[in-house]
Amino acid sequence: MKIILYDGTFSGLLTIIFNAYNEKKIPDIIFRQHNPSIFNVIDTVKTDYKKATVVSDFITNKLDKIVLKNMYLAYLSEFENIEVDIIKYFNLSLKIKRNAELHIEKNYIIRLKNAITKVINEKHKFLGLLRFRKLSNGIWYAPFEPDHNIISLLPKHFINRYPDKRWIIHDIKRNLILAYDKKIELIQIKDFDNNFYLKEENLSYEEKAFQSLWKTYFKSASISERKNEKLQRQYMPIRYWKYLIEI
Amino acid sequence: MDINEKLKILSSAAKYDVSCSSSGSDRGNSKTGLGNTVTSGVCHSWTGDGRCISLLKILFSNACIYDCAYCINRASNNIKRATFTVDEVVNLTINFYKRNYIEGLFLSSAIIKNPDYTMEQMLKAVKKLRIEENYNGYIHLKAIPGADLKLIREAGFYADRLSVNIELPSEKSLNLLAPQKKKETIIKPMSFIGQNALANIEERKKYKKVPLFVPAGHSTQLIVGATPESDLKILKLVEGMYKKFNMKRVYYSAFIKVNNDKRLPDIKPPLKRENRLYQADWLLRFYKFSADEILDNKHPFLDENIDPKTSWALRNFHYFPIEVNKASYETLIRVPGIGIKSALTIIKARKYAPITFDKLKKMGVVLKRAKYFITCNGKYYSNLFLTPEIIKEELTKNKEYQIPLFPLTAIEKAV
Ligand code: SF4
Repeated sequence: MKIILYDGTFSGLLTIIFNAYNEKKIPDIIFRQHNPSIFNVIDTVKTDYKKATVVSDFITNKLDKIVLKNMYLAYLSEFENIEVDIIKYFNLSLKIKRNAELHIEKNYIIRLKNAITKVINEKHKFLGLLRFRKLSNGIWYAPFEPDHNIISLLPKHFINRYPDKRWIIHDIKRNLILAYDKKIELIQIKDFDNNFYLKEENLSYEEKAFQSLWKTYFKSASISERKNEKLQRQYMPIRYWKYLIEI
Repeated sequence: MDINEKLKILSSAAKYDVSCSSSGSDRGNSKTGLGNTVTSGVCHSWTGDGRCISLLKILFSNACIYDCAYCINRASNNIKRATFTVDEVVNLTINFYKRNYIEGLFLSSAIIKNPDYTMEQMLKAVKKLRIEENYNGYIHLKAIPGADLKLIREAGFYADRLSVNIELPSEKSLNLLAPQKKKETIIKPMSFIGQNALANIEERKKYKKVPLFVPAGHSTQLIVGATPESDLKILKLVEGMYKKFNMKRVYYSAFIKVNNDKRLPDIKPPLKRENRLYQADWLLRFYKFSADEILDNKHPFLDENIDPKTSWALRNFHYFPIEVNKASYETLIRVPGIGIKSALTIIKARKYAPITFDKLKKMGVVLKRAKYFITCNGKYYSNLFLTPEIIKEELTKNKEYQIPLFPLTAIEKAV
């Protein structure tokens, strides 16, 4: 059994693929760094950007851009051992010389597609569920904790929507920040006060007033004759409520 | 009156308007503006009744001079009245939008003073949003029946969607329940918007610079259950509107009795019926069914226990079973349990290898329904000799099959 550990980055995963191709062997289990540490019985793969670029260039130029996109989306799911399915999907695509996603007779393809759907759905959901707060320094700030690592999929939509504002989207679970001020940047941060946005003094003076108007609207938009909280939760699971204003 | 109070009154007055969709428009943003619209639509929250909140849906005013029997805002009701100012509407929209609470504005109104005055106020608000605030988010505007067509036309250049409510399925019912509204004051602007929208598409093909006119098209809303018209009559009317007026969507709204009025029936909101009508509407728009196929004079109402596609299939059992490895796209989408997406997947996937029941399941086909109507490589799913009657019994006794009361958005997702 071949078990390996990597840093959890996409480049790291591409490095593993490079090595697997050379060694003609697919690992059985792949752990991300912050996963349970099983002493040193496992190999650690060091991310090698050159190898990663070789793999991604190969896929885009010789195979199909969609394959790389699928691999990336599935990777963002952070499902346990999804990396192995991604490698198998890549290998099959390589073998048949085109995108292998239609081969749903293979279980790893089903798992891959399932992961992709989950990621895309969650991304779409958060286009609506993110809530920006206006801070006293004029920045618009939106915290969230998605199940999957979707923050890198958000820039296009929000740059389009708010091209003129300075804003920050913050994945509190993963300590990632997407910051926009005419330019966009994705930053890994440390030691950020996660309750920063809750403190009255950090909010702009009119923020509370609009939050309360929004609450008013939310309450009065519901039709009591049709009450159906189960359905509400199905669309908007409770784990997403933390940073909403209205509920 | 403070703005919070106004918002409470004018949003609860608007909530029975079911048209919640914000999709169908792709308005890109400029470099410095605020906002864009997304073709697939975005939900920002879900209310306690499970409906998607996408737009800030408000009335400009609820101080109506008309007296429609079914309406909470009618002149003869003793309720709190409020009217926004143009600036208040603009301010709320912009600030909700900036916080990502909403996808845009849905503005309707009761009739204050007269139809033209009302339409002018609404027009002022959308013009201010677009011109002064540089706002590019979604706007759905209700055209006021009886307002000058010039005003309606001007509004069409600022709104993404313009709609006129048809309210009731026949002129007779309209005369009975909404005597101040005349059929022509509804039909005229409807066909006017339809024609202008079509002409705009043509013009824009020739000259790119021609401004957009209601890029998301127009829609209408119809109250179900307040008057005795059958589903067949409703679907025929709807089919006609889709064809003649180039309409994008029809919204059905189960009648909720809010007034005590002798002219109104004493019924619970017919939610199941509303749900079935939405399903039938899907069959009209995307599954190439005609109203006469979905229902006929012997069956003028949709079956509440079974969805319209399965009903049709059971009445036309001689078309089945069909072989999934050979059937055309048009045939596949007529099979209960097979949607457009799975039909397309079947056609793609069978090029590589024959389709089996197992694969169908993985593709998301609802085998529980589909299994009675298909074969895979000549094989039936079960050996039972089945008749339409037995199938219907099987399907309806199965609790899971009894579709819960979906709101609109659920249906949109399911197909
Ligand atoms: S015109 Fe509209 S707001 Fe006025 S009573 Fe009739 S339905 Fe209600």
